[in-house]
Amino acid sequence: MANQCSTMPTALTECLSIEMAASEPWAPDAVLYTPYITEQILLADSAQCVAVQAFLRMCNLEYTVEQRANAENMSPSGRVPLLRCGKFVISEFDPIVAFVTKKGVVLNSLDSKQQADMQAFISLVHNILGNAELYLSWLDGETFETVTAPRYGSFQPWPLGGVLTWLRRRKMAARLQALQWADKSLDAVYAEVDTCCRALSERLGRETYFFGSQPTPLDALVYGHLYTIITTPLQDTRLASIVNGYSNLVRLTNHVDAEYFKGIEIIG
Amino acid sequence: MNLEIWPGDWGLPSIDSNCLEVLTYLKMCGAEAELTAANNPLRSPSGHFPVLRHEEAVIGSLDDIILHLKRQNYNPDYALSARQCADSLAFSNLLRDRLEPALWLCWWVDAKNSTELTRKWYASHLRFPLNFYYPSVWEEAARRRLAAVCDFDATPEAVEAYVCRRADECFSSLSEQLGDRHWFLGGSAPTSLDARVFGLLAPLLRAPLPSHRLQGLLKGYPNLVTFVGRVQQKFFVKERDEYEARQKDRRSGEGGGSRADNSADDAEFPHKRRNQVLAGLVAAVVMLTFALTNGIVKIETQDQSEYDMSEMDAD
Repeated sequence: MANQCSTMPTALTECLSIEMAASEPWAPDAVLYTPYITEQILLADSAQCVAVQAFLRMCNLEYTVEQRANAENMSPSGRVPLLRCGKFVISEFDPIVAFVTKKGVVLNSLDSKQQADMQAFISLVHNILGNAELYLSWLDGETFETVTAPRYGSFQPWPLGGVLTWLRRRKMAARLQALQWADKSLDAVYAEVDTCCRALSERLGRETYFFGSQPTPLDALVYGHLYTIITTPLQDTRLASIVNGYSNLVRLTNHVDAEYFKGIEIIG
Repeated sequence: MNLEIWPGDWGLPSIDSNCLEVLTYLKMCGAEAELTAANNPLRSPSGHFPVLRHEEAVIGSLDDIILHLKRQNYNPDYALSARQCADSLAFSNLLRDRLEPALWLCWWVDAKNSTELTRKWYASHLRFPLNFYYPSVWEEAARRRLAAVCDFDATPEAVEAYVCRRADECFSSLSEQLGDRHWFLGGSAPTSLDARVFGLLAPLLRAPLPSHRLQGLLKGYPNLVTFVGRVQQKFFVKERDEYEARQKDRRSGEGGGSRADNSADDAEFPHKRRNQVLAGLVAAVVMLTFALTNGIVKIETQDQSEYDMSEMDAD
């Protein structure tokens, strides 16, 4: 049954995989597939990859990273990063966190109200920071031409690279249209990012992590997005300067960096 | 201030989530607005309702309406701490991320709900000839939105299972956040988050949905059901009572059986027998005239007597 499931990529079987995960321990040869970091990966995907790596390190789980040009196509949901653990193939941050949690690996035992809070803030980060990154990469003309278009189709021969980039842009535009982000102006997007960062900063306060002295998946996700935003050089630096304006968020990013990625070059 | 909204049904002042949210918001702030029932999306700048008309401004989007009201000092969130505002924003996004796709599926993409309830309701409330056009447009838009958000390669059943699972997680988080309290952010007064949750949950709970999987999931959280009832009791008790009175009348009328049907018939058509006889006579006269003028029926009495006379002469 498990073998059949791993060859049938749908969201339903991802759910089944997560359910069956409880019975098997973490495979030490687990692999995380990501696109090529220096040449190919884009803002939103990079944030997700770094977030997943931070989470796995926080859980003290062994994994290796393999960079593949077609990581996106390998994934059952079309999104990266992709985790292969034993017989299971899981993609994206939320399902990977659920998968690991089912195996009994708990970072910080939260009560049900704190879990609800955490889920709400994770949705906030996905909705605002995630969509803002997609908007900048695909709908902002300047960033698209200087960063996205050269990177996305770089591993395909011409003209396939151009065609794939064009198709992907249409798909992303449709998704942002469905989420009512396509009609926003760039200033409105930056305002939303600022509001999100303010809410996160308020929630974090002076604590080390969002829920006390132990990290949670929310800390990993916020780290992933903020690290990517701070370290990715774009033509328009407004995004990075908004994030840098919140000192406690920058402090959190530096702390996670030092604690879990000491001296290691982060893949992302 | 004039607010144009979709009309209400099922005990609610409006069946649309956004309209309901603005109405609840206005009630919370004690703001007065004249309400107009919408039936023509062409009158709205965005093609959707609610639409707020105030002095010279015509505002068609929900976020802009809330912003405008806040600028007029109608703000139920004024007493919230910065931390509570952060929580409010986070839970709003939870609703958007996890619940809204399930609502698009439930109201428009699910074939049974769409044909038997949603499209029928909008078609009966839109003016002619827009009632033939807009329901299909909105159904297609909901389908596209759901496909864009669930863009993995999956069957409709898998998509339904996925969105329902996420909606259930959302309900569970909301239920945890509400707990035993009256309002989502604690305190003695409701806030804009309560308006938003009510707007999304009330139509889902109250509508007579033929395919009610999502409704069933919501009913599994009693404190959320109580919350919806509490907001209705506080702000919309008149609409709820009128609807319940109508339902009671209809049910007692149905108890009378066919007698009730006949008496209803008699009330609608007072001169039924007379009309039937007249209609029959008119039809008969018209048919006879047509037959005579086209020679289908001939009256030959004169010819017969001439023939007899000529026969007698011959003899």
